[in-house]
Amino acid sequence: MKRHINIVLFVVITAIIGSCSSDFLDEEKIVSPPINSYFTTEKGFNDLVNSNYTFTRTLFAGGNNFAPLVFFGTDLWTNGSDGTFIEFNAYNSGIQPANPVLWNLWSPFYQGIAACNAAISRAGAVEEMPESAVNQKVAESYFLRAWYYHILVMHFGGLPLVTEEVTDVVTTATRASEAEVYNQIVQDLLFAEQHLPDTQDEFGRVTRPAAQALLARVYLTLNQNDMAAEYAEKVINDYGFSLLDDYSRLWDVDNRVNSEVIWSIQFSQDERLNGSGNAYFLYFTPRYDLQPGMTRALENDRPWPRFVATRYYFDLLASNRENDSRFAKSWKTAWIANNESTLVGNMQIGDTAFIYVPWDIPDSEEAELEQKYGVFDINDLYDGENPTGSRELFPHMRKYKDPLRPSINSGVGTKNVIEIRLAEMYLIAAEAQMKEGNLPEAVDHINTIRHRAAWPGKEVDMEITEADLDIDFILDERALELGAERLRWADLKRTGKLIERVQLYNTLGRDNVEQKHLLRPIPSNMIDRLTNREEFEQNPGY
Amino acid sequence: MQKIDWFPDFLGNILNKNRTMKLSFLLLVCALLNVQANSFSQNTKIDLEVENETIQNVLEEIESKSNFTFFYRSGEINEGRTVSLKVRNKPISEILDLIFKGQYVSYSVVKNQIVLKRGGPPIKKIPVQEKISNDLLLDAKIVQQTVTGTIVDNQGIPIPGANVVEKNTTNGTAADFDGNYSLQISGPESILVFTSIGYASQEIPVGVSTTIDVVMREDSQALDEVVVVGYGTQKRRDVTGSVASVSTEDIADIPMTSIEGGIVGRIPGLDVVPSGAGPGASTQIQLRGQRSFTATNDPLIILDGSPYYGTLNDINPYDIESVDVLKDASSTAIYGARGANGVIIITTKRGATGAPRFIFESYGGPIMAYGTIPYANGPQYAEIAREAYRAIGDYPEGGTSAEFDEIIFDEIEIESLRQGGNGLNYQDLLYEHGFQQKHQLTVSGGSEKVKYNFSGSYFQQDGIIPGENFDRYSMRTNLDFTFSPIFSGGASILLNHSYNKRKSSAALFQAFQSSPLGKLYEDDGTPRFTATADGLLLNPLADYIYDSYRWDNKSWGAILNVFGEAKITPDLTYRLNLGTNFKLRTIKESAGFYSLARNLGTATAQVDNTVDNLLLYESILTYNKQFNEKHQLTVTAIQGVQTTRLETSDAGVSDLPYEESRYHNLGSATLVNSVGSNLIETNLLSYAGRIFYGYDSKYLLTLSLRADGASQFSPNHKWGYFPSAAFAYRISDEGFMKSTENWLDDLKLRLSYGVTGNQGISPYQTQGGADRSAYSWNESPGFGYYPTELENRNLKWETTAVYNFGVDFRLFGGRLSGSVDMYNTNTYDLLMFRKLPITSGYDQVLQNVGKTKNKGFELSLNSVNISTEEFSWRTDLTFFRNNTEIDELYNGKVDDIGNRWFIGEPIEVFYDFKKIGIWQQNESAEAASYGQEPGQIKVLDVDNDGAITDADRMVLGSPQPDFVSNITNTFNYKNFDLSFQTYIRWGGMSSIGPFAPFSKKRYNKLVFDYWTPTNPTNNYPRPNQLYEGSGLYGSTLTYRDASLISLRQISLGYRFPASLIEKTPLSGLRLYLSGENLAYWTKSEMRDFNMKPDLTGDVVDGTRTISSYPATRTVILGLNIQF
Repeated sequence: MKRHINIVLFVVITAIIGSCSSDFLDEEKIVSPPINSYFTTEKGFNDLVNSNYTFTRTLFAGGNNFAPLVFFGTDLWTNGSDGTFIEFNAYNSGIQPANPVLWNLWSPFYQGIAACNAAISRAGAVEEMPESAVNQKVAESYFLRAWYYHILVMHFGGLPLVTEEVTDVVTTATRASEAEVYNQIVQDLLFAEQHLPDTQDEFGRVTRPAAQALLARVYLTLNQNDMAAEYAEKVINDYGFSLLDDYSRLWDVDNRVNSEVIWSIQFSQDERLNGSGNAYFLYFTPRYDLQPGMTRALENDRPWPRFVATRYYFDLLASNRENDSRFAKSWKTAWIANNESTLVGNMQIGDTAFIYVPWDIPDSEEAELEQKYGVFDINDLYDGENPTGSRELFPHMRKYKDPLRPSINSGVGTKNVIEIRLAEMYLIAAEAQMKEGNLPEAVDHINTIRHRAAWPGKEVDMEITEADLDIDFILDERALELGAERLRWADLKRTGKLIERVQLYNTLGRDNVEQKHLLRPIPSNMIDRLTNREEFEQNPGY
Repeated sequence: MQKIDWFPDFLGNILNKNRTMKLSFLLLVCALLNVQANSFSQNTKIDLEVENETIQNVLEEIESKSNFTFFYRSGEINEGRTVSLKVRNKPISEILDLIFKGQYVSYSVVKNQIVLKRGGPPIKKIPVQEKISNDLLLDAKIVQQTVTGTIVDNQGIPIPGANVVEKNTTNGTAADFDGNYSLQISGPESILVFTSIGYASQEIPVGVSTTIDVVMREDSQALDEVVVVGYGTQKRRDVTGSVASVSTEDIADIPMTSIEGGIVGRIPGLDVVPSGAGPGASTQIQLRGQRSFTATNDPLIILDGSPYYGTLNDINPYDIESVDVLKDASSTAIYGARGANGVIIITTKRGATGAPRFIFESYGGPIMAYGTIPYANGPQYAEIAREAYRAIGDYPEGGTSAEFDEIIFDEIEIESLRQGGNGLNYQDLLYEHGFQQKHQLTVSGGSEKVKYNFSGSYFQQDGIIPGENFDRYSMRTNLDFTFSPIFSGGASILLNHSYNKRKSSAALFQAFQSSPLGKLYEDDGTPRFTATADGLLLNPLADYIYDSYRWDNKSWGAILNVFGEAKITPDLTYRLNLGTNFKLRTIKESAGFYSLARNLGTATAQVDNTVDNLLLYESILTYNKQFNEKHQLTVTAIQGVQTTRLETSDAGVSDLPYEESRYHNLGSATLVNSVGSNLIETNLLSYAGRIFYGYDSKYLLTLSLRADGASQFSPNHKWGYFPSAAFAYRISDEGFMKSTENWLDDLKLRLSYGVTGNQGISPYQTQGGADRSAYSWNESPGFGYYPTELENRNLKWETTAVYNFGVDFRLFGGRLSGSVDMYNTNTYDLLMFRKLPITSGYDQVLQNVGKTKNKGFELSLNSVNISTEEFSWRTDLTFFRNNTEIDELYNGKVDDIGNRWFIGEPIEVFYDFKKIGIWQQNESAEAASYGQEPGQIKVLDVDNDGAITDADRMVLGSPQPDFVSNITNTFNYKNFDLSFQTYIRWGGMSSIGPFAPFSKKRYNKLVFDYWTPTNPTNNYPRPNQLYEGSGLYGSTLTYRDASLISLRQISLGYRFPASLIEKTPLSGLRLYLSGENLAYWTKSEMRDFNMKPDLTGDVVDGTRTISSYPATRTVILGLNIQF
């Protein structure tokens, strides 16, 4: 009997060990907050709105995201030695729905829109905040949603318009018309304008003037010029923004907070905050490191020549360089020797090693200079309209220069990007007033910009008159002031000048560009995933 | 009190296979009798002192002191009668005489069992060797002749318990612990049959011999071999599913650095692919192909009864007793939700009764690079560079020009060109001979109450790249206790520590990339960090020169399994398994300013810690009974609980003020780049049952059902049910097969169907979730949270249903045996990330959608070609093919091009443009119509629309081989043994991705036959300075037929004959020499590049490319000492 008792005990005890409480299979995830309750708190809701900003950075995360769309295929930029995504410059058959550049813009932006939608849909449920505070907060989400949609609509036309958080699996989509999308953008921005504060404690958050500035941009796109002018002038006049005296200070990394910034997209030297970083510093940098006396150095950036100015752009920049400081203040043309082992002639460390200049230096002068350092003038850099040879030699556009990166060869940049600045408001106001027929106001706005751009003492020489003013002038002025600030392709499209100017100045794309290129193809990854893909329209010609 | 008391044979200690077999034999005879049996030993003399004990207790006492087992029919003897006796060093016969003195009890000793029976005259001594007749009566034979001898294996080691039976009688005995036997036979015409588990049986006519010594040859295919099936063991003869095994005998003579080395090619259907190279690299194991997209395709590994999720690298291969691979769903369904990818059951060696036995094993030898990969030398590199500039009109056609060289080459390259010669060969500078060694001591032995098997080992590997090491220390203890006839138990304890380190992050990469015209040291001897002026072409040796890089991966593991077993009734056994599996891993990396990883960036350090813990509880109830001699019934019921808990923490910093602190002072760094920790828990609750019924070993049926509840799944779908059925038919036992019995020993047909699951997904996927987002407000933290996962209330198991048809056969007295399996697998409700229209904000959601199909054929053949006293030759062949097809995706039968998933194609494919040549000069007009020019790659315009668009890409192939075959030939001549293993992996595609030629002058490249105006080849395009990477359509240059034939292993051994070592304390001594991967042949030109296409580790863009690590070959010299 004793033995039986032992067995029974053994079995009973082990069965108890093995028996499980009813919640044994329940799962508890403790490492992140439960979304449904967390976002109703003030802290949670603030976190949710913060997340809306993150996706703005995706434009700059690498060369495969946005840059080929806004630099290539314009009158200002052509391809450097790195031939990738050249199709957007050539307007050739490489612009396919499956092209990753399109998806890399579309996908993170719709994720950003969804994050904004989550904040907008959940704003009503926030418990710890008064309604006005909630509105002020969620107005940031409205602004950002409008900003995302605006960039998408400019490139793709009519879009699937999602304005609420999606909580179930959705496998269909339909495109709203361009007008419907713009209508939503304007409404969102009006809400943002109404509820956003004039200033924010935290630099980088959007404000009322930022909403108004974006409205000005949007109205200009919509050709509602009175509204564009009104909003641009509100920003100019109402908030104490002012143009920096020195154009070059706009691009200094130690001057990221300044009176001209209306809204800037934030990057950081703290890797934990910086995400994938801002890679644009790479793509405008020539192979300076191949010249005698030179090696890579942090202050000179890491070379990855992808975007080179067209001959037209350099000629424009150089033509008035005696009066206009903007070429000198946003381009680097001289490099200082920094590599003992490759010094030539009498060159010493610290001497000028070489210069790249986009104008002609007379041969006699060039020979004299070459006694001291390497000299590459426009005839060395350009063969007619095209960059010479392997397209690695050109002045360095330094708006994205980033000497605070962690190391020379790091591809993760840290530099803030000024997304909207005051000078653009003057240019919007000028263009809008011109289109409205208010030429004196337009000339005033232009001259404000050009005064600041002038070398000291040359202000008068920079002034223009009503006779100078037309849309081509405006576009040229925007090229001088805002070149490389990612607006060009949309500016040309908006003004109906894209095909004309590509045919005039872009040697690679001129034979191919056509009407269909005013819209990008909808990414195939978008369409392939739909269960109603037969109903979903691709843009014509793709 | 009457009882039947034995180990059900499939739960018995598999090391004591003899007893198991004999018991089963006896059970056939003793059907429906309640008999008693216990353990014992033959020639043992026994001390016994009892005072007024019942006979039952006295018999038990004898059993516990000896190896004897008593059998008696209930009621035949008066077990309650008490006796007193005191004997010292008496044989069993005398003791039995005393116990049953005056009683009507007779006894016979058959082999090692003692059968007691009422009847006859009062007890008297009967000769020990007796024939047993079918009615279990004691038909004593007249003794005419006694044969004695020793039974040893081919290593000269005695085989205790080996059976000797006089043919066509039941007269037999078993060898004692020293392999000695003695048997009285009926006469000189007798034939003795020698059998033992794991050895080929032998028949020897007696003639006039009185001494017959026998050397038993190993035979892994013996029908009576016991295989480990889930939650128990089964005789190979009775197996109904598809189970393949590798036993220690199969691989005993093969030096292995890991288990994979021992099983590769030996299990049809099992594909072992290295997932990297170099010391400590792991492998991927796949059974019968891939079936899952998202969930794991790894088979479940059961190590000594509990699931093992670690790397097989951590298990010492010499500790393995057997590896049993369950392939079809009827075998794996007992593992339910984890069984879909097959189950690999690894059993480690356990102790056996006897004096301590020591085995010392030691080997060592070099690891050598197969050759250097033929990268361009200096002049070749320069010529490619010039051609790249010629292509854009920046270098004169034909000839070289010093003036233009000055432009395209930098100062250092110019200097190197001026000096002439071949420039630098970085591979030669980098490669060195690696080395590996291994030392292990194993001790085993035990008493009747406690058996032990202990081993400790050290394994070390130095790679062919400096500073790469892998060290493994392991200790294993297996204990078995017999507490009483009812209670027994045991423990398996495995402790290991492995240490994998590297001193360079990218030396190999830079050796391939850097310009051969570079320079590693300045003229004054100071090292250069870059090889040329180019900031990305680094000195491949920089990490060593500056001692600037460390990568350390240490892990400590403890696997502890204990079990207790109780025989509730003689038929019913309860077993409790408790297991825990603990692993601590810490990976540390530091990279200094002058390291290839940082490339003149601030010094960084990173530490990642992982604590992994698994707890297991299982109750197993087994009922095993035989009825009417012919009906065998085994019922198994299982309850199990398993929990896992994974905790991680990590920190990464940069800008260390003092680099030499490596990763030991993270706090001193200026910047914190990352800090993290995480917790992941899962729970699994299971109930399972299995019924095995066999009729006369002719009709065999297995039914099983398992219910699994897993925490990962949604509340409504926590539970999954996995049924299976298998039927086997031993057709060779049928009367109508009588005519074949001369040559056909055994023929069994198997048919099975089963359903298994795959829960191999990360937890928390059903809940929806939020992720942290990072942003900054002018350098202040701007972290956020946002929803990143949709709640998914319907997530459930992935389900796999398998039909399997198999044939097992054995011909010509065991000279030829093997099995054939055919299967058809359908996997549905695939756990797949259904890609969502991104407009919802969610890229994907995990759903049960999609179907895949696997079909395959497997063959294994074992042939004894020649078997003589002195020479034997054996050939083992395996062959399998598996074809995986995607049947349906989330959108139905619609391809997902983004993921490279195509209906009707395998899961992994190469999808790209198809290169059809190079545009030639006479095709320039046509090339121009495609926007191309002569010298560029011409790809197929699939849709013939005059433009190359995305639509012109096509599926080019897949890594899936057409078939895999392995042939092992083993020769034994006297004391020599020689085996060589040929491995064939035929078909399939591989990509030489990492070696794709660069288009422009910058990075070095393999020497390819490239197009120039004067060399109108169709092989490779003209180098072109305008393209990054490998240029326009450059990826089309990388695809290769992966067919491979390799001489995987040759090993030659010599066993010192007993005559040489008998004066030493040694009982065995073997020396061996073995080479791995000594030669290989590939169908493509990869061999010319010294690349093996089966190194398919790096997964790039959904496809695999070969590893950039060069192929290696190894030779070792080893020693095995037993004493």
